[in-house]
Amino acid sequence: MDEAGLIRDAQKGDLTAFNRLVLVYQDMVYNQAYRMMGEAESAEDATQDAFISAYKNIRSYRGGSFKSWLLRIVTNACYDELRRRKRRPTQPLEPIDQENYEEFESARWMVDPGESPEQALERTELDRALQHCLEDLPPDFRAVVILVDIQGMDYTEAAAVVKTPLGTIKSRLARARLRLRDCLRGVWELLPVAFRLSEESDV
Amino acid sequence: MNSNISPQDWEALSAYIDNQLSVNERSQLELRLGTDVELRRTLQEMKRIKVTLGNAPRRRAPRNFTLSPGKAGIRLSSPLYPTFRLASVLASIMFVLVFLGDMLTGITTGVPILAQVARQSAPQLEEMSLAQEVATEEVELPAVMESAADVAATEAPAPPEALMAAPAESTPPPPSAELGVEGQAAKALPTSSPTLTESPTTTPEPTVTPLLTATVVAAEQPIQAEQADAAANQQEGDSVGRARFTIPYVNSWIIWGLEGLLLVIAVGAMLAALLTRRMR
Repeated sequence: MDEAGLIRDAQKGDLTAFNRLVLVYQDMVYNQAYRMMGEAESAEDATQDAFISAYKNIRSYRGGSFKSWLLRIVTNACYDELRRRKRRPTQPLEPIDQENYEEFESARWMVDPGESPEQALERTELDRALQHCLEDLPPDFRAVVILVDIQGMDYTEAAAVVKTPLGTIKSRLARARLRLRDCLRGVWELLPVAFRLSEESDV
Repeated sequence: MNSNISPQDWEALSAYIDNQLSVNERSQLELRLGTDVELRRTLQEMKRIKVTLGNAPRRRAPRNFTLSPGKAGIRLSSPLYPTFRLASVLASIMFVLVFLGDMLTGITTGVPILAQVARQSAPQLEEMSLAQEVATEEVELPAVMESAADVAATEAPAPPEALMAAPAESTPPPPSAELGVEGQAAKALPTSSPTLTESPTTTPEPTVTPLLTATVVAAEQPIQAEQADAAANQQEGDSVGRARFTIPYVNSWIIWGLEGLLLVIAVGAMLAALLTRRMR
């Protein structure tokens, strides 16, 4: 894929070229939004808003990492939504149990029905633990740890995305990891055995 | 949190696993890691956090987020849009030109330009109006003749001197407009008087003929005077003054109508252009 050529065409108003870029980066952008927001629906909205904003402002893109540029847009969209929620807190909607007419308290309704029960359990438990701990972080810390540890960016790229000095990135990342360690300590034993073994071998 | 591990140690360990330390910082930290068990355990915990986050399941986008022209804010205008836009612009320009032209002409000469044009065609318009009046005159003239015949039949025949003297008293042209109209009617149809006087069939009794002759003669004198006045008025341009008060009144309606029509076209075409522009 000629990314530079697609960007140039998109800057001239070629929507098809831009949509090819969307198809390449939509998983990455959606994951960033999902980790920031913690909800699939909000993540979809933030992702769509981010791509619309990216298309409207693509003429302001002056080169560099297109991935970083997109991640900055979606991170800002998540910041805006989180600030709006802070001003007007709402009760999250969960599906009603048709038998007991009560809301599900866990996220098991989000499980992909195609997965085996074990796989679904592992994914759900890991997702729940990580997402719970991530949501406990302040948004600024959360954004940095997602960019570096989940998206795999280096400090310089992360600093460019959140427009923060490199020293601040280092500090925020260290404090975020410390908080995550404390948060995950309680659920560490609940994580799937296979996952724990693979971690130990990596370490 | 480990009590012996300072925030600076945590920051150094965090940067260490990301390979973000300088060579000196790295060597100093590795020396401490060789001797400090707690620091080494903390490093292992931090690595586990990093690996856990790095191995977190990636979610695929639940749908494609490609943009449609509507979502991207691209508005597809109708093919009629350029036509309406051009019509609106042209009608607006014409409206402004007509309006300003009329205003400027009214300021400089006191009479709108179309009114001046109307002055040039005033004689033709006057002839048209006179022809209409003559038509009414032809309708009224037999009635006058019949009434005169009735008077002659009921009253005793007057001496010719008295009959001739009566018109002489009314020789000065009356200021009323009716006489003028009659004079103009006579001017427009000069053959009507001889036929009235010479035709014996129109007079049932011999005494009526002198009466009618006297009446027509009396009427011819103001007609001649009116003709002279009209000629003088034409020379002095007084007919222009008449056009100023009559014909411009008609033409002002034409101007207003034209301006209103252009304004309606301009606004209508502009609204249509806006509607067709918003079509997607």
